[in-house]
Amino acid sequence: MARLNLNRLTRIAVVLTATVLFLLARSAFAQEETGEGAEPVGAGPGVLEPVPLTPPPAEEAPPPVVFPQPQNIHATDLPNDNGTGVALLFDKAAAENDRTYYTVSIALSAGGPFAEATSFGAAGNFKENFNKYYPGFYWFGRFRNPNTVHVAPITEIVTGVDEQGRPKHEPLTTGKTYYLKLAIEQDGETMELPQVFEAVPKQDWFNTALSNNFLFAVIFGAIILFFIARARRDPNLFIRKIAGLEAVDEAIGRATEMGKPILYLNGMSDLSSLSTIAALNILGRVSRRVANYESQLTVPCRDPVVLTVAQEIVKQGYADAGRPDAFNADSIFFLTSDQFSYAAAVSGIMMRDRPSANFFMGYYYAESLILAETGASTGAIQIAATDSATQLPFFITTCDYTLIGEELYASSAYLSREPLLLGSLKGQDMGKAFMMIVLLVCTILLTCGVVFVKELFRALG
Amino acid sequence: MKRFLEWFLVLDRRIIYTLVALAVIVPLLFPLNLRIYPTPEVESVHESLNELPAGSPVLVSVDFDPAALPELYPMLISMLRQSFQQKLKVFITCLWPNGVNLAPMAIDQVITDMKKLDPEFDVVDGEDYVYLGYQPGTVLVMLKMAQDIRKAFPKDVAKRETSTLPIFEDTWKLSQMKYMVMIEAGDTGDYWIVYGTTPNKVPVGAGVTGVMAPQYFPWLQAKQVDGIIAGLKGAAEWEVLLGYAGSATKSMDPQSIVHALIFLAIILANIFAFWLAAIKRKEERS
Amino acid sequence: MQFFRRRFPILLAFLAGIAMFFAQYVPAKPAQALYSGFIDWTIIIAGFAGIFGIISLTHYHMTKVRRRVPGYGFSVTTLTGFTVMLVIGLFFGIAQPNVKTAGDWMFLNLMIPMQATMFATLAFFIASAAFRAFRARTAEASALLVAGLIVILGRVPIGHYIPKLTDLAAWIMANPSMSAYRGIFLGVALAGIAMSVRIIFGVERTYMGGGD
Repeated sequence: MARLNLNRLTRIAVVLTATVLFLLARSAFAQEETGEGAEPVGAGPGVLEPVPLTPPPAEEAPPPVVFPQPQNIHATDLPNDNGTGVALLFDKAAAENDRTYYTVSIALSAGGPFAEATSFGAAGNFKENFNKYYPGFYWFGRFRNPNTVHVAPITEIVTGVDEQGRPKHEPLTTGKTYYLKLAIEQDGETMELPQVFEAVPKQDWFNTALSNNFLFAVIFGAIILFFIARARRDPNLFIRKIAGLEAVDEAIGRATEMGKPILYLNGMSDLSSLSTIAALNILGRVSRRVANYESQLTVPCRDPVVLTVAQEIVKQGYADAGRPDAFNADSIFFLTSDQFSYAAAVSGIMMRDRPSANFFMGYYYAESLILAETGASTGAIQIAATDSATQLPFFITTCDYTLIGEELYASSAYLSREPLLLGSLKGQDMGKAFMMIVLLVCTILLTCGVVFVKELFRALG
Repeated sequence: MKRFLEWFLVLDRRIIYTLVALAVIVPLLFPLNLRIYPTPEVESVHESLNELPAGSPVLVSVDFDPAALPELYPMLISMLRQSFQQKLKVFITCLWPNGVNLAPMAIDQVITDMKKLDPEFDVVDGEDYVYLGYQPGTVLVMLKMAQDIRKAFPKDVAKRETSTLPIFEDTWKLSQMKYMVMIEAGDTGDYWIVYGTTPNKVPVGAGVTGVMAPQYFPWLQAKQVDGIIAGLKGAAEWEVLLGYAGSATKSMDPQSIVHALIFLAIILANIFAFWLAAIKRKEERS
Repeated sequence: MQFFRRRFPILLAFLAGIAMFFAQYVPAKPAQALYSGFIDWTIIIAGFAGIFGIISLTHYHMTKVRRRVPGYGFSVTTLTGFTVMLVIGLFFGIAQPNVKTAGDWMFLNLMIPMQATMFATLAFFIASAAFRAFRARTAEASALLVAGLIVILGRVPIGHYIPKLTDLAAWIMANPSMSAYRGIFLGVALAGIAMSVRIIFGVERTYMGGGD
């Protein structure tokens, strides 16, 4: 039998046919992949690509945006304000992340048009960030549920445009209904919730953020009034010696012996300052004693209103001492309201008139050292009383006696020895004792890690 | 020796004044160029301003009069320099009537100085900065500024309606300020903190005279104040941080020498007092 | 008449004091309007009170000039300076944009140098006061002395050349000094409350003048 002899031509035809079929098949698959009849991709001429046996997997479509679903969305009046604010509140959603933003818009009617009022990221605008409006939550609630409730306070609305074409912002009107909407932006996409929330701004008649402040003020006031009332029944109240006030008589006596005037300054503040009132109280007592001793009193004033009051007080002091004829209205005069001009003028009076006693009572600024040092250079006895803590060191180094801070306020009671005034001093001391106990207890509590105690004493308003 | 000690302990004031005058004049003529090291309180203010992006609104309150000018004016210059360098929007107010002319002086000086460094430098009044001038009322002005600065200052010093100025386009109330520097010679700073910056959550740096600095440390500790620039040295530290030698830096040599003189005088006075007491005790025993 | 001289001012002080106290705690508009109204009136009254001051000043110095008391030249200088500033300020001092007025010139060339000079004298005074006062007579004075010396040098550049001095000075400022200030502030605040209660409830009446 003869061997089947596929001759060379046949072998070539088979190979060629297989090659053509292979190439056609590859071309068809390449078109399916591109879908546009693009040229088949490959490593280049002369390189055979492996034939893919299964089609490549299609590219994954981007996952759908998952918007957070805030719960318990509601709009209310903004508390502790003057009736020009509303707020939208909602619970923090579980799906929130750093790509979440909330926008609240406001309108005058439920149908709109709504304008953006405020926008914030999910990391902020929690209830505890607005302690002024939600003090109760800040003091007591936030430790149990920190960062769980978002708040969007709104106090303004765009009502139009001004002449320059810029949006005109107006505060909200008390009693008017406003409509709010919430929109959520997540991963660059925005979804507006369809619900519309209503709120009406209302005036509040007590700022609960200052309730701790109010409580302490009432407690202290009550303590002081209690002791004033008690002093009516029992006028024998002990008060420690204050050397500066004990020296007032000595100073006036010295001035009388030397035939020199007494210089009395009421400080640099106006009559709205308590220290000026305290200084004027002392002036009343001093003027009475000066009248008794028949000495001279010079009272240069920095403030015109203080001048008029000082004149009345000194006049009455002379009248109470039975020496109304000795009163000289020209001895109480206005110099200037300018700080250093006043210091220069008083220094000039000291150098020319050489008073033997200088009283620096009230609030002082940087000129205190100029006054006191000039007075010291003339050899006068100097008594200072100020609540200005920054000037105390200067008075202490240059004056013979210095009353510090509250001793100035106590001086009226001290000099008059009136039971009612002494009673108020006692009340003040009790208030201070209460404060010291509170400080001690809170220090211990804070050291033991009870942190919320510190916040109880912060005025949030 | 005893007479010398007695003479020294009651040294005539005029001798002390003369020594102080020399201690000021000599270092000015022969500078020592003592190195100035910024303190954390001043660095805090500088860094806080540094971190603000261009276009951020900042408020400067010029609450001092010419008496405090040597100490506080350099701070105002530094504040304006840094703000203009960083292209911040500067709102300038004044709550002291005697200080109303100080801000325009400072603005003119800073613009002139910066043009010398960079001829291209330019800031436009009403766009890059605005000087609102003085308004009486202090606390009332602050409360009004919290609502609307344009209502607190209806016109600026150039008598332009503030509501028409471009600088007020995006900023019209206190809470929108990104930072504030108050330059204080009196009590206005306490009112700013209580009525202005704390309720409106505006970070604030306090530039104060040296004497007032201890008064502001409680505010600093309570974090109601971001930093304190205390006195002439604080102003010099700020100049160092900004990289220029202004009047505050040049005043550091005399200040150092005067302080050293006072230090020496006190030490000597105490040593001599003890010495004199020892001599007197010895005389009494003998 | 007695009612208007004695009781009416006390009643007025009581009502005003209570109203201003509650205005601090009431955010509603009427309360805030009352508060700002009071402040506005304070400013207005202070402005008018300036007129009284000018009258008093003029009268005081004119009297000294008329009587030719020793040193009346200073009064002449005061009256002259006062008149010049008043005239220039009123007629040549109104601020104009980008225009330097005569009032500006006086402010820049007179007011600023004079005020700065007065402030500068403090340096001399503090040197002499410190020299006289900082003596270690008692334990407290010694503590004051040591703290003062540390802060005097520690707060200036020359203090950096002494190791740890600036840190110690900063510690003193931030700790004991601040604590002392806090104590004084607390005491003054409480005394202020006590004094305010006394004034509001009419216990303290000396400030009214005209006796108790």
